Amino acid sequence: MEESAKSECVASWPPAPKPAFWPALAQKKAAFWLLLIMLAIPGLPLAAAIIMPDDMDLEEAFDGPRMLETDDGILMSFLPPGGWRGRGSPTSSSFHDGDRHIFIEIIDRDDHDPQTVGRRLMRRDAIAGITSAFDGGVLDLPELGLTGQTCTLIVRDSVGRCALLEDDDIIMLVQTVGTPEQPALPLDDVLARLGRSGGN
Amino acid sequence: MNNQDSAVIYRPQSALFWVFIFALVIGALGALEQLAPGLRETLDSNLVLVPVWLAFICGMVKLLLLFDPMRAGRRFPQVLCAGAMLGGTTALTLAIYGNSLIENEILSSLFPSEFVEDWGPAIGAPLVEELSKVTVAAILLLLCAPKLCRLSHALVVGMFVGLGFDLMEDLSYGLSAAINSLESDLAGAAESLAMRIATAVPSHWAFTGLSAAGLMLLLPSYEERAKWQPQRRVGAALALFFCAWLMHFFWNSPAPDFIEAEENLAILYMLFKFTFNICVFLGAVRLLLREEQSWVAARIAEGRKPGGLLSAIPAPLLGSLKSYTTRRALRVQAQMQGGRKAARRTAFHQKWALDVIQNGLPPD
Repeated sequence: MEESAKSECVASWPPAPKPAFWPALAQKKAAFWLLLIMLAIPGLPLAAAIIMPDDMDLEEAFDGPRMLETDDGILMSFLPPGGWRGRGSPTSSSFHDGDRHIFIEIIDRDDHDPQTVGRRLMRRDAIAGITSAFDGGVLDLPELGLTGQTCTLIVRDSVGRCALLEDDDIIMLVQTVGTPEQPALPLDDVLARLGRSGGN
Repeated sequence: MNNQDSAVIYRPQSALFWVFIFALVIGALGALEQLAPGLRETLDSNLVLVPVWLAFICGMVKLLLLFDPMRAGRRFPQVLCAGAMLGGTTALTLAIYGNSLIENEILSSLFPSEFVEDWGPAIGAPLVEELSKVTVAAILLLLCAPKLCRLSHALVVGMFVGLGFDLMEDLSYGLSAAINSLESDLAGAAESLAMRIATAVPSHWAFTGLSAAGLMLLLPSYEERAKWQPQRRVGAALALFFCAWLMHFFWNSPAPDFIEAEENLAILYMLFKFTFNICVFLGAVRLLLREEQSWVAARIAEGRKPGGLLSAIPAPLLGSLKSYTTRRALRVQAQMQGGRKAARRTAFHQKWALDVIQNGLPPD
């Protein structure tokens, strides 16, 4: 009994120094380098993007109409306002002037119901942070052979209007947004810049 | 042997274990941020596809384990799971950010949009994605260095990192297709999944398998390091990195216009890409597995000695373990003599013997 009490005392006094946690870790060098590489994978392109010239300056400036083409080869044109710059794919284009933006997308109608397509496009945009809703406005553009509905949209601190247009062959989405300081181009002005098959 | 020695991944005494945890948490949060909005929106349709996903995953795991004929990598299922998780979270998150910056910021600033659309995925993705995947594979190969020290280990770990990346990339494309589909979520997701399944061989798992094996050649933990001349070893590592990059670049590169215009030519070109990549991959794997075959042959020679680990195992069975062909030959012979049951028993014994060679005798 006496002996066990004695050994307990020996074991507990003097207290052993607490082992330092971090210095005890092995493979610190490898860990450091791997962390550095993981940071560099997005970090280096980010640094390069920062020192690159502003890509907006290298966007195309359109002197004439910008052509949009569906997968089935149906052509529509859009004549951007002077000084606006833009980029896009064959089926969609975006243009901007400061905080004012215009976005146009063209889709083959095939057997799709334009209402359903419109709702699906709106939901797609909602996931990307663009909230839009039909506002009850109706459009008829006889010179283009298109009819449709208007909608309003909010993108963070920008607001604007949009239109979902259709004929027997295509469905078309047109959006125009701007900020209070640089209001969006009116939807009617944007629609007036649309043309068929390269004409305007 | 205490618990710490037998632990494969749980090695809190290593800083790499904490890097692994950190990378996994950050990667999971990043993947969640990328995928959660789409997943929430299309959950019902994706739930319908769960059986297809499960069958696809099981098929891919079975396929990948075929490239571990000597049962070297499957001994560590926890590492393979960790690899798939890191590939599907950390590597994917790093790649998404890196790719997006390279394509949308750098290439868009330097080249016309048509060029970026055509060549962006071929220029950016092979570089960023391969680097992301091989980096997370490096975490595991270094953390588990006491256990993972041969090319066959790295090959399997790399393949599972790539598989995790592949599956999460498939999911992200599926979500995007579901949301962008003009028909329905299910139509978009199903079409995308079918396309990804059709092009799953070879894919990220094959690229990363080769680059992880290349990495192993450079690590100090590589068991056969002394058998190589340093220049040859570094050259072989670079060749494997190049093969991984080349396969990825070629797969992502656009077809020339005259091929794109003709549907039949486009299909033929896809087949050519597939054949090229599968040839590069199988050729490299064949060379890589030679080392494991030699290692197993050396263990057999050692274990066959009287009183050795393998001395109780019949000689024909041991002799059949050298390669897939010799193993199959013994099974065919067993089938001819005793039917399918005998062939299955022989296959079981061969697996058991390989496990003994890799692990030592199991405790009673």
